[in-house]
Formats: sequence, structure tokens, C-alpha cells
Amino acid sequence: MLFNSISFVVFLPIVFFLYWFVFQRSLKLQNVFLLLASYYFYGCWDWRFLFLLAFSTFLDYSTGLKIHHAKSLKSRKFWLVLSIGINLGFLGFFKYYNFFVESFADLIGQFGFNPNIATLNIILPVGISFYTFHGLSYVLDIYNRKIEPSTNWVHYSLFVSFFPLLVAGPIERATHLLPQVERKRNFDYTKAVDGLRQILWGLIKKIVIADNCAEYVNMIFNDPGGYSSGVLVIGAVLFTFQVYGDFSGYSDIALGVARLLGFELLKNFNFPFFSRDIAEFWRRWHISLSSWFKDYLYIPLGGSRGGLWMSIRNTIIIFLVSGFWHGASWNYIVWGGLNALYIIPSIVSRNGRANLDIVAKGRCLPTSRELFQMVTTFSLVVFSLIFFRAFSIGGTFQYITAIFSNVGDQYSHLTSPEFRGIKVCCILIMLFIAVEWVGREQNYAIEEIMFNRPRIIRWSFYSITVFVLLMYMKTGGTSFIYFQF
Amino acid sequence: MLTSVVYCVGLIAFGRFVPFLIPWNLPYIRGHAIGHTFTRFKEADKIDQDIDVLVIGPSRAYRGYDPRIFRQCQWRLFNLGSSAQTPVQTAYVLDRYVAKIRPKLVILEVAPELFASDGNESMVDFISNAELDIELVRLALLQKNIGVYNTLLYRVFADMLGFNDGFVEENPSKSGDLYVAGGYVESNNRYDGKGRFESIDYSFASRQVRAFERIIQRLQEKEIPYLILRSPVPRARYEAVTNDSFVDGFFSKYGYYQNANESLKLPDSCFSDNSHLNQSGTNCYNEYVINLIKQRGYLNR
Repeated sequence: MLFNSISFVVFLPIVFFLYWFVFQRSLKLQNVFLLLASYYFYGCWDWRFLFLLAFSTFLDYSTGLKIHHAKSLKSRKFWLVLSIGINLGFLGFFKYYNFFVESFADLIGQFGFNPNIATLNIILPVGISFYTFHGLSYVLDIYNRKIEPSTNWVHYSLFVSFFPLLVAGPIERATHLLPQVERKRNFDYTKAVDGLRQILWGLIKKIVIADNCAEYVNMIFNDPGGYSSGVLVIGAVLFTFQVYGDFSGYSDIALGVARLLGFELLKNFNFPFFSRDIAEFWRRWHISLSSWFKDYLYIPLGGSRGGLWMSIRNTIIIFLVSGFWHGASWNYIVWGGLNALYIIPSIVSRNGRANLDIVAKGRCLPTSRELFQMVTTFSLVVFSLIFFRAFSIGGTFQYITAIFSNVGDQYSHLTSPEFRGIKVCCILIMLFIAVEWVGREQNYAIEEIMFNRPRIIRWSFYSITVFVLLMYMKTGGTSFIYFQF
Repeated sequence: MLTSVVYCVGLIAFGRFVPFLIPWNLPYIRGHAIGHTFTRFKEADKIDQDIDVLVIGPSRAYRGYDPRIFRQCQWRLFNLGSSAQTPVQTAYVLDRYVAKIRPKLVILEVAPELFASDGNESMVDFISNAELDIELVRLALLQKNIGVYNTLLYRVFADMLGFNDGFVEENPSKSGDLYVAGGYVESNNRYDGKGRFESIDYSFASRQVRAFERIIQRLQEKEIPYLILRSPVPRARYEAVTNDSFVDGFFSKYGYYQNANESLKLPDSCFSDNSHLNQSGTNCYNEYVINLIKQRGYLNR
């Protein structure tokens, strides 16, 4: 079930009504109901993988208890390694098996062998990367004695499978979400309205911005040789807006839905396109994954405690792993590596934390220096995302080569019927950036525009937003990019 | 309430005053559609004598059957095809006009791709250009598509505010298509043959199959003879279809069916684009159809 589907439009009000008006007297009933709703939500995609989700939940729940009750360090380690091994084993099988087999075949093929290795037709369970990381953070936190294990199976299961975050995050921490699951929640009108606003903004990002960009991105990336440099650059820029609109739109809807149900989830995006350097960009983009890798990989590897070289080494490792997390393909790894290269200068010069506040805080416009920094950072991101979109290293280099070689008649393609709507698409993107800029100091863009305004202004804005949504949205319920991860 | 008002005002403003920003979910407004549907329906509404041959179906219908050629055999042909018309809309056209036109023969032009279609394109064409009636509104609501709903809403406002008063469709159109009395659209463009077609395997939507069965049932109930024809398309396009035996087998079940792509192999020069016959192609094809009608003895005059 997709957030942008008719079935979800039916599902959510039913869940909301039953949750607040039928089961509100008992926390236990509310949690059981949410758990069942979450399993139904996931089962709509493929019910067979509910067993995998349930097994993964059971594994981490029971190993968490075993780690906590273990008498010796050796025993604690055993249960930890078992949990990590099985979790990563599942992830490795479903997501990476074919990649390793093919890479191995390619490698030994270089030495003249021609192995007859079969790949498998494996369906990637939606959300496996996300719920596996939920579970891993839980057992690692117990092992590191940051939290006590949950003794309530329903609470823990709901933490792992809470439907707003189940299939594409944000990647939650037990320290943050489990206490919310365990305590009574009361309906808060202001919070619920805020949740609805964030859902509305998320839908604009997904079905107006991302899905409209996708139409042109698909055309351009499917035939890079057929387009001029200018059009290819436009394609890469549009993909950058597509992936941002798609994923941050999903996160906004997830956060909004959770807030409707009385939960606060971790913020996943914080206006990354207004970043002045790459380090700032990564503090604002897919925050829950970046912080997960920082806490569970970068710091255990030594972080920056061992000096400059260790800091650089560990940064490269987390970016490569992060790239690999995104997909079983070399281009994602190169994408990760490229971002590591981008960020190394700021580690060497030790100014990676120079821009902690949002740009132009308290001002309407950025300075020319800030504008230059933002444009430079954005351009680097656009370039790196070509690796992300092209699906293979060969495809990426074909695209980049075409940018530098297909000079000549730059924009004639844009007048063809297939690109008829691209001007309107660009106007929509500019409006979108303007609204994001105005709201950049808030949790999400339209929170600022809406906050403490007279009712007539608020409702006029809602009305215009709904109008834009219904007039320019792409119909057909396209999937979210991050579902494949 | 305010949202509804803003929505309606926005719809009217965008549809009427800022055409360069016309949203994709307000796909057609009158005069923006291709295929001269407005003029065709206007002419159909004024028909006051019986018709010998009624052609219904998608754009290949109104671009592939020239009344002037049929006139040479003393047959009156009227073409009620429209762009991307699917069986759902064909059934509507049949219900609306068959009693008035009283055809002696109906040619059902079939395009397999439209049996796999959702029918939205054709529905917005109808809403924009045909007279609105309860049945058309009912069909529009069944489409479950925001573009169809917006077009319907805009059409209602456009009629109320008089935007459509005195509208005359451009003829010939900007692309050079000429509307000819009898519902035909003449094109003298020549296809360059450069189109690339990916292999395609058609699977038909059950909704369209049910509508097609309804059409056949009604024709049989009214005892109107019918021919099911699949007019030619460029060879490359035709050969890209990988399950033609299924397609031909399907249509054969419902009556006399001819796939002209098999019997009449026309060169690319007979097409105006990658899908439609031009005048030269129509001349050849119509000769073939007239012979077929004569052989089958449908119109013994």
C-alpha cells in the first residue's frame, strides 16, 4: 500500500477513527490495533514477507533479552553476533546475493575462467534495509547498555513495524520510539492538524514535484545519447529534485501520519538544498541513516579519535557502506565514494562543522557568498546523483561522456511534444524552492507559512495548495524510489 | 467551502485565461482537442436521413474511412470515431446515435491497444466536445480519474459562463488535418518511417472487453449487421505486436473480422504518422473495404 494511493486514503481514516475513538481507553488495545494495522499495511504489498518481518522481530526481541540477561561478556557477545549475523544474513541474501555472485563471476572471468554460476530470481522484501537497521540498533543499544530490553512483545513489534516508517524509514532508535510506544497517548488537536499539514506538504513533494520530474528524467536517462549536453544537465538537475521530493515527501507523510497517531518520529530531511558545504548537506539529508552510521559504525571504528588519517579512513568506510546500503550495484558504491571525496577537504581543513545553523538565519535573502556556496554544493550533489540514477557504472559514464560531447543544438528537444510540460514543471519547482526557502527555519516548509496566521489566510493557502496538488499531480500511484532499498 | 470556491475559481482561471499554464489534470478544453470531435458530433446531431454505413472506433476510424469514396458506390457513410475511443465510449456513441442514424451496416474499427487502455483520453475528448447528458456524466464519474473530473467541472462552468458560445472549430487544423463532411479527417502528411517500436504483448482490460461484448449484443438485438475491422498501421508498428494470434483470435469470436494488416501490406508512404493512414493510404484501404462489403452482400443497392 502506497501513501499516494486511494487504498491508503481509505486505510488511514479508518485506522485514525478506530485508534482514537474505539480503542482510546486502553493503551494495550491501541498498540495491538496499530500492530495489526501495520501488518495489514505491509501484507498488502506481499503477505508472504510478513513471516520474515515477524521472524526478524522475534530474533531481535529474544536476542535483546538474552544479551541483557547474559552473565558473561562472552555470552553477551555470542547473542550479539548471532543477532547481527542473522540480520545481515537475511539482508545479504535478499539484497546482495546476486551482486556478490555476479561480481565473483566477473572477477574470476578476468583470469580466464568462465564459471557457470547461477543467479537467483529473488524478490527484495520492501523495507528490509530499514527494519533490519531498526532491529540492529536495538540489540546494539542493549549490548552497549544504553537501554533495557523491552519485555513486551507487542511494544517491541510495534517499534519495528509501525506502518508509517516500516517501508522507507526514518530509521528509528529504540531510545526514541519505544518510550512513546509504552506510554499513554492522548489526542492533541494541534498536533493532529500539524500532522495533516505535513502530510499535505509531503504529497506535494511526491506527486507534484517528484512524479512530474520523473517523467522527463526517465526519458532523458533512458537515452542519454539522444540528447544534447544542456538537456542532459537538466535531466540530472530534475533527478536531484525528483529524489529529494520523493524521499523527503515520503518522510513528511510518515512524520505527519505518526503525529496524527500521537507519535513523534525522527526528522529525516532538513532543507538539504540550502547547504553551504557537503558536510552540512549530509547533516541535512537522510539524517536518520547518516546518524545511524555515525553511531553504529563511525564511532565504533574509532571516529576521529585516532587523528586525521583515522578520521578520513572511517569517513570513507561509512560513505562506501552507505552507498552499498542503497543498492547492490557498483554505481551506488562509487556514489558513496564520490561523496567521501567531496567531504575529505572539510575534514582536512577541520571546518566540517562550520555551518551548523540554517543559512541566512533571521534574514530574507542569503549573501552572495552564501548563494555561491549553496549553488556549488548543489552542483556537486547533482553530479554525484548521476551515479545514483544511471543504474550502472557503464550507464553513468555514458551519461557523463554525453554531457561533454553532445554539444551543438542545445535545447531543440525541449520543444518536442514529449517535453511539452517541462516549462510548467520548472515553474512548479521554482515555487517549491521559494516555499521551502521561506519555511527553512521550521520543521517543514509550510509550518512557518501557516503558523499563527488568521484563519482566512491559512485556509486560502490550504485551498491553493490543494488546487495545485489536484491540478498538477501525476495520477497512477507511482512507487517511492527508496522502496527499492 | 473556501477550498471549493478557490478550486472552482482556479479551474476557470487556468482553463480560460492562462492557457500556457494549463495543468495536465485539466487535459482538454474545447478547441484544444485533436480529431475534430466537436464538429463531428455537431454534424451527427443534425443528421436527418438514414445512413448506410456507420463507422465507430478510435482515430483510425475517422482517419481511415472516407465518405467521399463510399459515395461513389452510392453509399452514405458517417464516421463517429474519436481520438483514443475505447469500447466503453463506443458503446455510449452507439446508444446515443444508432436510433437516430439507423445504419444498415456498422463497421467496428478495433485497435488492440485501446482494449488495454483506461479510456481517460477519450473521455475528456467527449466531455470537452460532445453535448453533455446524464449518461456521459455517469460514465465520466466511473472513470475515477482527476483529469476527467476536472474537465467535467470545467465544462459545466464553461457552459454556464458562456465560454463555449459560438465556438467554431478550426478547419483545417494547425497540423493541416482537414475535416470532411461525414466525420472524416483528411491528412496528406507522409510518415518518414523513422519510428521505433518496442515489442508489445497486449492484454485486454476486462472493463473494455465487457463493453465490447455489450456493443455486439446491442447490434445483434437490433439486427444491424456489423463488420469488425482492424485497419492497417505501419509494418514496423504491426510487427512489434508479439501476440497477434491472441488479438485476432479474440476479435474473430465476435463476428466477421478482418485484419487488413495481413491482407493489405501498405508501404510507409501510405501513412501520415506512425499510426494513421494518409489520404493515399485511405484510398487503397477503402477500396479494399468496399470490395469486402460487396462480397459479403451487406448493402445490396
